[in-house]
Amino acid sequence: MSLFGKRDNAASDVTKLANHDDTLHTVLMFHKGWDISKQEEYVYKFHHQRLPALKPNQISISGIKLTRVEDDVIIEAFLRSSIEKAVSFDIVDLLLVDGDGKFLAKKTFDLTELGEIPALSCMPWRFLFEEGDMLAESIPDEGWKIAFEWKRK
Amino acid sequence: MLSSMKKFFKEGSKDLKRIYKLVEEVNRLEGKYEKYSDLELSAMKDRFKSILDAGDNILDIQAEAFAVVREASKRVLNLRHHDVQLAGGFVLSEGGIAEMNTGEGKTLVSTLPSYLHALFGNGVHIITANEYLAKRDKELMGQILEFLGLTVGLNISQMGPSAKREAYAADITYGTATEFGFDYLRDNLVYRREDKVQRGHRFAIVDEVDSILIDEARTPLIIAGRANDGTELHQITAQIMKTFIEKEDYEISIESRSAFFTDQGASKIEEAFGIDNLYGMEHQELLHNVTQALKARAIMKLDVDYIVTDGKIAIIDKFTGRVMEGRSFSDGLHQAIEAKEGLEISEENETQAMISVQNYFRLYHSMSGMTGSAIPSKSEFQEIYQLPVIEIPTNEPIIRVDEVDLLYKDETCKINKIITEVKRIHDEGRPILIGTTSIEQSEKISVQLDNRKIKHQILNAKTEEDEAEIIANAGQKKQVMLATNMAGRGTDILLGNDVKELGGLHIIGTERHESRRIDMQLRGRSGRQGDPGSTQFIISLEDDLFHYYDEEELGRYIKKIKTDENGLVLGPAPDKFVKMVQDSVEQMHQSSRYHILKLEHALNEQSKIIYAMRDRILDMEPERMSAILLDCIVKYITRLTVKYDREHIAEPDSSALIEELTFVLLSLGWQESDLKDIEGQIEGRVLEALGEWESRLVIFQDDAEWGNQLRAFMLQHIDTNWMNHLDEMNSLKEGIGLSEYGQQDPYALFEKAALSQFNLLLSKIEAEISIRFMEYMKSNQQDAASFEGEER
Repeated sequence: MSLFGKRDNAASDVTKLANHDDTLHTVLMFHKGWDISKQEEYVYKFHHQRLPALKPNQISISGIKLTRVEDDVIIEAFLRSSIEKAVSFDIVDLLLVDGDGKFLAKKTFDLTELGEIPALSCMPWRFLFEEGDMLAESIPDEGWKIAFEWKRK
Repeated sequence: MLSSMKKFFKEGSKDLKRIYKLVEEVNRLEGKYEKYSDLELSAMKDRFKSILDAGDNILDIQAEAFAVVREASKRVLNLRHHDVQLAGGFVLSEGGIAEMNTGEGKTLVSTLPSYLHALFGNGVHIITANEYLAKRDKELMGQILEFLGLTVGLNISQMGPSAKREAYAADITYGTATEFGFDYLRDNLVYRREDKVQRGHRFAIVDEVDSILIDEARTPLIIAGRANDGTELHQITAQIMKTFIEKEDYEISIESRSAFFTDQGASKIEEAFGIDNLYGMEHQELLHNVTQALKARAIMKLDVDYIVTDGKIAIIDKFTGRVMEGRSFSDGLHQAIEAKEGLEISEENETQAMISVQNYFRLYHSMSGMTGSAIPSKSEFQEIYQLPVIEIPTNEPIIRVDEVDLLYKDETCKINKIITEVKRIHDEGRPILIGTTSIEQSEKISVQLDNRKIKHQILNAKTEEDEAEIIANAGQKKQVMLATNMAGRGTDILLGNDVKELGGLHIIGTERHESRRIDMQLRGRSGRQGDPGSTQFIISLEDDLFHYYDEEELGRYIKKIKTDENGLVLGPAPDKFVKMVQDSVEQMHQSSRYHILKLEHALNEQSKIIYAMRDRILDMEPERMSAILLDCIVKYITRLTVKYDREHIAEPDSSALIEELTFVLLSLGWQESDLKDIEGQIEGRVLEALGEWESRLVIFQDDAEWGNQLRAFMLQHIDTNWMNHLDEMNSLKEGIGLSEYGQQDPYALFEKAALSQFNLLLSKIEAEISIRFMEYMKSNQQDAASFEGEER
């Protein structure tokens, strides 16, 4: 904990970011275009707190919530960066996998709209997987994961 | 102290003496009206009306009117009002509370003042404890009133507006307090005068008046709308609360039924959400949410405070043990409980209109009430409602035996004794009623009765019709009935054959209630109309009542007690101790009611102003709406310029004013320099510019359609601002409990804050109406221009 106690915001933010074991925590932020209520903000804060710490220089994606809309699913996920510089995405391939690593769905997303993720930050984003993107019969409510598909060039 | 006590007795007896003179007069008139034909009796209505129209006082005709009603009742229902019923009728008629025991025929009493007051033609409202009773009384007692040429209506929930309007148009309307209160709130949300259902508040007769004005004091009636998006957060905070441990993460104050986070608890929440200070200004919403989640976790108990049926939470009325239909806990607590129980979360709502039952009844020109238990709260009725309480003697002397309480050291000993007593009295064949304070407790005792193979019935949150039937059967030989609080149940327990000879109904109270009135009501179920009967409270030091009492003092008493081998407390003076605890708990509740009432006072006055404002707009001819709008704009502009003059005496900055004015004036075209040399005359100049407005609005003068649209437009802006204000006032109220005020009177500070908030509301309404209307006019102008362009 910080020596300066609760009220010293700046100090506590810094101490939270760097852990003893060189792992890092990110700062949660929201896209400018997102209009979310205070309540929703706390929901994201809660989920953000429960994410495992990152090693330096990592980009990570972690699913928060799955919502079904007819035969499609919307995945909400945190995009996190432990890079010390802002990063931006353009085209990425995302996979939905189950606990055994079996592919459930796959889709290519254009993330230019998302803009930049500042250094050491985390931003929630929504991804729509349509019926045609599904690779499995069904997607379970629990035990799914979202992941980047890294292509070798 | 003693002298004031004497005065009370004297006053009571003086009133009774005067009332008995009136009763004698009614008795003298009996012969006269016996000779009247049915037609002549019903024609008396018009006679009385013309006397009242001529300016005579209602007191001049009350004995005559009562005699007429008594005669009608004899003919229609074969029921003759007893003298004590007449006496009760006079108390009601004069706007007092008649304390009358169970079984004295309170329902018949109400026919007397309702007939009399209905003669004014402004309606009489008879308030019953539930809708079943409203229906029953309307159908039965309504016959007498209809025989006398009056119309009778029934107002229950689920009735459409036109049926309700018809019910309210009747001379006498039966219904529940909640329904009348909600109708009032709904009436103040309508957009057209003809959509209102009520037609004023002249005279009300409230049955079980203590349960309405005192016991329900803490549940306001709320109309709410609009969904919120807090579902997930409720689920998260409920999950967090499940991991919290009492005394480590939070502490409970049983006295105030609230729970607080310890430092450790607050840190855990901060950690969970990654925030620095839960109590920081920016986290008010989260604090509110977790506080409600904690309350749901630590204070609100399943089957005591609420039940779960069909996947929904239903509130249990603490005083009657009955499910409160259509009510939900307010302020997010309902959702917090749903999350705790893992149910689907209902929509959280924004308050649109709110009134406490008490304040609703303060709207009446005159009100009155009946109950079996008002005397313990006599001073509260007098101070807050200016309602004198007069105890009406029973028709037959009461021969019921109220035995002294048996106080046990713990619950196990208590239940053992209860079961032994039930067995003993049951073997004699006498019916027994066991009054419990919660469904949970009823079930505990029921299991024990099953073990001893004693057949019994349980009366919990059943439907009102079933309930009336079960209660009616409870007086039969060998019946054993377990009932959660018997207050306000309104149906008599009649004794079966041979039961009188056996000693009548025996009642066992399993807990002393926080309010002695409720104990009185339970006892009053036995020994009605001179029947034999007996009652006893068998209680324990582990009962809820003692939890509300000071922990240390209770501890000191427990150290001193001596008990027998069955755990019965023999000394020191158990009866005195129980009475002292009950008194202090009751005192505490009374102060909390005063507290709420004081806080509500400001809001109540404010809603009257807003509702009057609405009414004025509702009543306005459509042709005059433009004038009202103009009035509103003038007020807004005046406010702007006055504010400007005050704030810029030293250093005039007219650009800001001009900017604000362009929102409301059509084509201002002023430059800053125009305002430079006319300090103090700005208002005049601005109002001059308003002349342009008037000429534009004149076109619409005779357009009724336009007027009605304008009306709806203005009402809508009043309503949305008022609803926001209600929410703000709620947080202001919450704040008063938290803040430190030093030497200042917190209520005075609250009223001051409430007043400035209200002034802000009024100017917001004016500003919004003016600016929004201007926007509309401007867009219309553009539309018209482009339309004209196309035409050419």
